[in-house]
Amino acid sequence: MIHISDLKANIGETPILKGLSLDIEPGTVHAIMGPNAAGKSTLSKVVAGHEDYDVKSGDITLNGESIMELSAEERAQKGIFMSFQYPVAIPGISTAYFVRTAVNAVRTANGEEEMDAVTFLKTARERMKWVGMDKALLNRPLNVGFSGGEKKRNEIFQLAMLEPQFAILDETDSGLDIDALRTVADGVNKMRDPKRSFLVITHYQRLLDYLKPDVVHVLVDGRIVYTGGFELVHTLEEHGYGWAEEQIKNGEPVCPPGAEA
Amino acid sequence: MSDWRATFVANQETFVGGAHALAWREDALAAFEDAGMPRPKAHAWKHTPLKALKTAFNAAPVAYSGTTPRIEGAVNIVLVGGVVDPSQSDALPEGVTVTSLQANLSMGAPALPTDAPATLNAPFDTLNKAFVNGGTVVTVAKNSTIEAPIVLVHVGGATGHAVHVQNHIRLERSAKATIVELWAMDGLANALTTTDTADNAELHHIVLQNNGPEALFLADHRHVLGRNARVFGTSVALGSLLARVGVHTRLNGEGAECDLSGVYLGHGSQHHDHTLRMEHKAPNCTSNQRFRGILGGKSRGVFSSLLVVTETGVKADGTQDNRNVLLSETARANSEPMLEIYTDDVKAAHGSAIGKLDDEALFYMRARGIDASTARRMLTGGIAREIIADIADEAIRTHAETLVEAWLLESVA
Ligand SMILES: Nc1ncnc2c1ncn2[C@@H]1O[C@H](COP(=O)(O)OP(=O)(O)OP(=O)(O)O)[C@@H](O)[C@H]1O
Ligand SMILES: [Mg+2]
Repeated sequence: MIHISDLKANIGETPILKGLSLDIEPGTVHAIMGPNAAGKSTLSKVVAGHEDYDVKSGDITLNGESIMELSAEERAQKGIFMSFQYPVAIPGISTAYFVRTAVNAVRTANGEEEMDAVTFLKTARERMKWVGMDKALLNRPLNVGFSGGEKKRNEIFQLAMLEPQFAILDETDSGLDIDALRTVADGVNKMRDPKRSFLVITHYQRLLDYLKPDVVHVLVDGRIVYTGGFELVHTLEEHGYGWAEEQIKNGEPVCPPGAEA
Repeated sequence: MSDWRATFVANQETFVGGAHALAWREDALAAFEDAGMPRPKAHAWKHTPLKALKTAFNAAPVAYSGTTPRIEGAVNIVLVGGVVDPSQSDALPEGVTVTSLQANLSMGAPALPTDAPATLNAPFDTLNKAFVNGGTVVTVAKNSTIEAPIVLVHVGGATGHAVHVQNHIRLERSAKATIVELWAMDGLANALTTTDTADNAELHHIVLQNNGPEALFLADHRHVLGRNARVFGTSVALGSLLARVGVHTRLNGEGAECDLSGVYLGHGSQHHDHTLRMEHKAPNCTSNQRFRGILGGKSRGVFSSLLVVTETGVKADGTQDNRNVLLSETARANSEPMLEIYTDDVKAAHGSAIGKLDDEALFYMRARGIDASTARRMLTGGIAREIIADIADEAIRTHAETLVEAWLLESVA
């Protein structure tokens, strides 16, 4: 579904992604873990089409077609979704108006009919319930004064409304309390579908316990340095990333503690 | 003989009020000639070029054949070239009277409210007085709450011509009303508005300025507030090539409150100027100012606001907040909140900013599938809506939103 090959991207003169490759099949959940500033959010923004990042080489394809020349909105219209680590607050635009405009922009781009106001409201109410989001937030300016948790619920609510093919969740768990995390994870699980895949970026095991990723990647210094199964989460939780950084520094093959080289 | 005097003489026959009115008109014209046009560096006009006003404008009435805008759900009083046209105007609710200023002119110069503050548009106030040929006197009777907004719809005028008009609004004790000025004129519109809000009264004064693209608009607003009076003023400025709104407010009675807000949207070579002076003269008064500029093309926005607390204005609480978004490299904004305080025990806060549209907000919207120009329109519309949301009356708010939406469609790519 999503195929990333040898992606190199700079911010200004500084390389952030240094040859990153990743393959995600339909219906699967992948997780990325990695130290602060390793380039996880950069990866999600480059996939989403942020123009501040200067892509030097490499390719990203969705269902076999390169998306590199597409604008951010075109990527979203093709079914790529990113849940922001830091959702943006926009005064003067209500959540309902924003989400409805987004839903209809995506529908129109795909030759579908716009969703009328009544259907929108009905669908929105139902999907807000999936993530335990307060209905009152629909009429408030987008993310303005929302609590950390409310913002994250709003991201997953939008995911549910837009029904993308591929969703990146960038630290959706940060800012959520323990109960909210469970609710939001349930919401994400409701969205699981053989045709939809997820890339979940997180620092903590808890969200992954609920989402049960099929594949877990370790991202260090702009590269995927190791890929494993769910058990890798426990290794990382226990040992952190120091071992990987050390092995890379010494030019050794990356191999987690306790795993076969 | 000055240009304006020559025009004055040529227009004399068309003046309302006849020979009686000529003496005070003459005096006003003489005062204008004494003052002369402001020098380019004159402080009050520092950022606002007056080139377009160098030559005199013929003030004789011109025919009008346009379509008059109306606001649904409001009481529309239509003034064509400053003159009330009863055939286009709605019936008034009980408790409010609107008389044509014309009827008063033969009895003397229009009276300003006692304690009305001075003009901020000098010397054009004298020009207005010399040539004034229309307007209204609006009175809301004491204890009356007028639910339906009263809209003074100003149409007419023509390029190269001038209309000098005065609207005098008075709310008697404990009255409550919404009075709107809707401007859709061409040529020079030189307008004086006074509002006199008596003790405990509440005035919502909204100015929707949607004049023609070549129009010149000089608005001279003077508010005076009594004890515990409240004035909520909102200015939505879309039209005109040059628009100067000078708002002088005097908080004259203890506990008075005045909130002024505004949004100005500029494209092409438009120039929007809001020059304010908020005078806390009585104790325990509150004032808030919130203005937003959205400026594209080569347009320019000016927000110049002086908050004055006099010796008697103790326990004043005042805020001034102005933010501008420049949509192009060539748009410009001046933002000058200023403070002058002659007593202790004052709370005052101000904020001022000039920036671009928030790139991260744009990316957020685009990342959800909204194309870039729609996103820009939504963001700029959001800024405008923050101000328009201050308009309490729904019919007026909706009309303002519609005007802004149309402007955005035309002006934000
Ligand atoms: N717009 C930017 N301007 C300057 N530096 C940037 C920008 N975006 C990212 N960077 C830098 O790139 C590096 C990677 O940042 P990124 O946000 O991708 O890290 P991350 O892996 O998501 O970290 P965290 O776990 O803390 O969220 C950091 O050093 C960051 O400062
Ligand atoms: Mg990050």
